[in-house]
Amino acid sequence: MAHGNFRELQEQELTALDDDGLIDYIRNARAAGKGDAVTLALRILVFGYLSTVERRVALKVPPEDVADVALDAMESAIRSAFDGESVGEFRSWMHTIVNRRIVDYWRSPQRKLDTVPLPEEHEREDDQWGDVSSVQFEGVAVDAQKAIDTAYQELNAEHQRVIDLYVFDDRPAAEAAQETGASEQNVHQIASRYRRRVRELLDNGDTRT
Amino acid sequence: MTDVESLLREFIAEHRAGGAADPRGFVERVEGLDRRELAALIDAYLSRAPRREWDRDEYPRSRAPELVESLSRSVQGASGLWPSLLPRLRARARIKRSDLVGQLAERLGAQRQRDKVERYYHQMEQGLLPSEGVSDQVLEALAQIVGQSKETLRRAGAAFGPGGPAAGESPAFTRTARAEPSYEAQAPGAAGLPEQRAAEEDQWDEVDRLFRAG
Repeated sequence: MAHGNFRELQEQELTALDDDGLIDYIRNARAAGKGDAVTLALRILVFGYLSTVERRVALKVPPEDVADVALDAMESAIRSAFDGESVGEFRSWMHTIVNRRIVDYWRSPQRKLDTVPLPEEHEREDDQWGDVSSVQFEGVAVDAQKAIDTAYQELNAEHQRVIDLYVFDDRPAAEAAQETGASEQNVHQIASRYRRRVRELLDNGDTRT
Repeated sequence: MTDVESLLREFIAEHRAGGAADPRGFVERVEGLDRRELAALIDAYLSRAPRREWDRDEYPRSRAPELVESLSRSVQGASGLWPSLLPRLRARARIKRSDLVGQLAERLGAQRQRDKVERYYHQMEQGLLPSEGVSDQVLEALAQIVGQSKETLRRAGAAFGPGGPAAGESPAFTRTARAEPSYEAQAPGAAGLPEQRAAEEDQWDEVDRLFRAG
């Protein structure tokens, strides 16, 4: 849409746009000098994802730094999408950026001393961490995502769909079965095998870098 | 005994209902391998979660306005991501703005023109100063103060590409500048009257060159 033809959308119309549609709209509104339109679209996009990003970051970063890392990731994702540097759909790109920012956080020189082994490796050293509640999360999740991804990639497309519906979309087994053509018992079996594989990967450290 | 699967389902239900859904609280309810598995599953669920539905009543109570305000200035401004990035780097470095300005003036050898340095720095944070005009010398000094690289600051300043309105042209900036009238009146790049501009041209000095001549 050329900015000469820019049409300002109402709030309701904007909420119906998908993420990439919102990014396009922001770009065109900016080119047309429509500051209020830029701001409204940014509100919808940021409100739509920031709390999710914060929750993800909270799993891996001490509480005092969650907001900083989350804001940084969200801002980077929007900036790169706006500049046409992102890859694929916005949501997926944004979560990739979140992962990178979390890794950056732990790799930053100020935190080098903290990025040591997982808490489980120091179970008998009670004073290993100082503030246990904040640091434990680093060990919990930085590379655990690889276990999830690896186990998922090992499944065929049909079984992946079962996992999407039954595990991550929390749909009843009967519903997942109906949508995928599997039996209800199969759904349970696929989910159970998937979780067993995730635990195996987590347990034997295959997924740690 | 609480198992991972039921905790995941409980978390998803709470998240979808718009509840607190604090992932740390859930993860802390199990230990060892269960904890790692639950964290990974919650993370995977969140990565797949769709965009939250817009709620104009809830918006002001969220953390989003803080980011939207700075991003909006960035998108519409002439300074790329500096309006978002610079305040955050300052906070990270735990340095007050007045102290940062003092150090910046000192590193630039402009202690006697601290006020002018402050006005320019304010314009950088407000998105009012065209980033391409800011010299490497300024960015180098700033980078050392906030613990970031000069290149990162340069790249951030170039974000969103050209096309943002110059200082004083955008209604959004007018609103922002009004919040701090002393800056609007004194900002070298935002002078409105021709005689003011002429006076500024007469007073063009090394600090202007550092912040505006690239």
